[in-house]
Amino acid sequence: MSYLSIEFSVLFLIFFCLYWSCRKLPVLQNYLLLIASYGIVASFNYTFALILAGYSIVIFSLSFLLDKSKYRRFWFTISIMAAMGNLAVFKYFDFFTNALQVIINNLGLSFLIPSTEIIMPIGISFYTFHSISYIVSIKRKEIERADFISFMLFLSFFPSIVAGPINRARDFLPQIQIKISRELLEPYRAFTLILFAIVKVYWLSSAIADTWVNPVFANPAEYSSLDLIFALYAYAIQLYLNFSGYTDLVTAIALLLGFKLPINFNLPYLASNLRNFWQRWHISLSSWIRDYVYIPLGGSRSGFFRTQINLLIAMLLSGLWHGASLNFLIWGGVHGIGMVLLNIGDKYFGRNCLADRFLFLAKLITFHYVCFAWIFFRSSSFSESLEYLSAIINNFSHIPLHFNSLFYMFLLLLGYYLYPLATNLQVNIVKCMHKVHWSLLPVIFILTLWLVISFAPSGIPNFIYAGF
Amino acid sequence: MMSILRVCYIFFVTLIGLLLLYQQSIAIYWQQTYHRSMPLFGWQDKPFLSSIAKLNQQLLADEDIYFSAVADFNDQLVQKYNHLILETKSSQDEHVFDHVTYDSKTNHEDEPTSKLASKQTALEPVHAKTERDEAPPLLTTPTLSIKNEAKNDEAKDVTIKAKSSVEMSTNLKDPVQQVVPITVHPVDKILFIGDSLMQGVAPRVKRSLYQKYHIESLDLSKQSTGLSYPGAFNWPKTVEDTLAQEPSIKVVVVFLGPNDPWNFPVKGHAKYLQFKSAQWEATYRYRINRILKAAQLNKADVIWLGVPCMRKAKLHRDVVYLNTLYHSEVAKIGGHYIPTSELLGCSDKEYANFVTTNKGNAKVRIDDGIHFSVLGQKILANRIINEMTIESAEQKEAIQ
Repeated sequence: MSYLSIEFSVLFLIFFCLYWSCRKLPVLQNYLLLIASYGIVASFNYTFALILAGYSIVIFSLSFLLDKSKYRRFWFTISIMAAMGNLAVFKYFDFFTNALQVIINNLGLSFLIPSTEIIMPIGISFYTFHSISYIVSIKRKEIERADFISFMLFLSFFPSIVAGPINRARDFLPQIQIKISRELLEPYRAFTLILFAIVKVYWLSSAIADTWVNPVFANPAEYSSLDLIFALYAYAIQLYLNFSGYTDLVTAIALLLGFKLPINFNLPYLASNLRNFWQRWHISLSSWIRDYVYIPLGGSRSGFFRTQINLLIAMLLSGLWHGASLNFLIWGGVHGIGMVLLNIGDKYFGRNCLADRFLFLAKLITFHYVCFAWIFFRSSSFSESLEYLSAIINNFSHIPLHFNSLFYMFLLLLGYYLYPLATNLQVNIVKCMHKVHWSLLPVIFILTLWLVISFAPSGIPNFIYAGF
Repeated sequence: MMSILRVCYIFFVTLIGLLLLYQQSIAIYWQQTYHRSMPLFGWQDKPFLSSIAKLNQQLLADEDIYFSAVADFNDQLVQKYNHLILETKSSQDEHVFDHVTYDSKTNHEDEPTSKLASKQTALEPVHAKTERDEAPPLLTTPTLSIKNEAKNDEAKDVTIKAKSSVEMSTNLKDPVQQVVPITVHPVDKILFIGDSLMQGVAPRVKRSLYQKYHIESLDLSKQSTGLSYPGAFNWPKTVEDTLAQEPSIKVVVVFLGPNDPWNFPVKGHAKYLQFKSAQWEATYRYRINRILKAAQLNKADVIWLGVPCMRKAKLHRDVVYLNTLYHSEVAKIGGHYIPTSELLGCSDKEYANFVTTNKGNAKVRIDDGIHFSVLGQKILANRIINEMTIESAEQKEAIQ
């Protein structure tokens, strides 16, 4: 069930009333959340709910042994292996069997690995990371072991199960285990975020994809270099709008249920270098990779060369997290190499030397490097990525423009200058809402959404990151 | 702190307001999704409530004018750029497809605007066409080796068992016309229509045809569409209109079906027609036929892809039945029908998501059990290209 569908809107309204009618009993609210969360997972496929329940029981049992046993290191290793093993089976099975088949073929054997169909459950990449954060926190004794229901809800909490943000046990479990009555949090901010989400996902992201991105990526050779460059910018914007819009929506839903989700985006295309970009883009993933992969590998504690190796490993894993494909690996590699080059530059020319002298140029270079990497992220195969790059290089002189790309680029540049204004947009809208009597707010919302929906393409859009 | 009751009020009133404004769209969405009329849709009979929907339509009536103005402005600048910078002759022909889009906003001025689904309605002569055609037998398929000339193409190792359209047409009991091989000249254009199945395949055919032969194509495929709900999207009318505008289209490739095996409403009938009933089938055949007739009128060849096996048992059985309709109707006009299950390693008997090659099992379907992996898309794209004989670029120059 899409969180942008009519069905969800109606069901959420009913759930909202039921949920807050149990305001004095947060434990009962947790049960309601758990039922709703499993219901939503089951709406995609009931086996996904069974897999999630089974996984939760196994990890909960292992965390119990980890907490109680004298052999903590052993049970910690087993727990992490169980979590990663589950992810490997459901997400990377085809990748492994294909690799094994290649090895068998290269050995000259004629054995065919029997085909098995394994379907990737919704949210598995996200709840696996949730569970690892819990296991690590238990091992480090950062938190007390949670009761079974709280743990089940921590893994399945419906606003963040489909596509994040990735919650940390240390920050999120206390919100579940609250003993006092929950409060509805920042309703005006929640309304603003819902409006943002509808504008970003339902209208802008879909329209950009339909008009420019999909046709150009489907057949790059047919388009001129300017069209191809503009379509790449358009994809960067589409992806950001789709994912940040989704995050806005689920953050708003969580606020309306009395929960705070971690921040996932902070104007990423204003980053002045790649390091800064990763502090602004998919923050809950990049900080997770930093804390649970990069730092345990040694981080920057073992000398300059080893730091760069750790960084490359972390970025390659970040790429592979999105899916088992060469393109995601290359995407991670491109970002990893970019970060290494940045560190080398910092070492020899001083930290942020370009950003300190020519800030706009630094931002522009960062944005274009990120866009270059998006080619591999968007294309379905490496050869298609090369086709796109080759078309950009070769189609300057003999292919006519399909779109008004030159003018659009000018508009984009204008938009890029105005982009920093978006920093305070949310706060300003909330302030404006406070000036309007609450009984009139629906009129404003109806008028706004009527405009947005009328401009939007038909159909309910997908959340891109739900596929990861 | 705003009270919970106030939040409920704001949500409730906003939701009701939007439901009333977009009641027509929601009714169509409901029909497409749940294959029945929306509960409480008797609302539309209430003058006050239906007037809100009409108000919405009136407010949006000029939307197309503004969009057209923006499109014209864009076209002027594009043509100036192409003329001045590239020194190419920017004729209308070069960009003719840029103007051909079928969106819910532009398609049918005689229908209510729909936002959750595109919209069109055709008058269906159900009562006039209820004689049931003799059902053709289920298809069985012997061998044809699919030749793949593309470099760097994973699909080239796959040897497929299939029948040529010419050979298959002789098996049908319906009166059929001889299937004539398709020859595509470089000045010809190709039209792709269908649902999300086609959305995966058409871009690959389009890409290949353009890169190898500079043949242009128009891909109108649109997810969640089919022939059952013309109120949501009317493919027969879209094809008729497109071919009328585009005489250079000489091949129409069709790939749809999984959205169709449901009861559907027709004008003049209070109840939905029961899936597989005589009336349902007659209506469905009529809609297939409208597409075929439009192609014939335009002297365009038709390549119609059968729906492949589906993981869900009911959907699988239903598409096997739908394939018999596509096959027999296409055969009647001498069109090219391509069964797709065997190409993808499965059959009418059972679903499989792998094709077995000499190098191992290759996944051709994605997790939903409906759509295709990249390899699956490539296999089908190659099969479509192999159905056509394409003239070389040298001949194109000779023609021009």
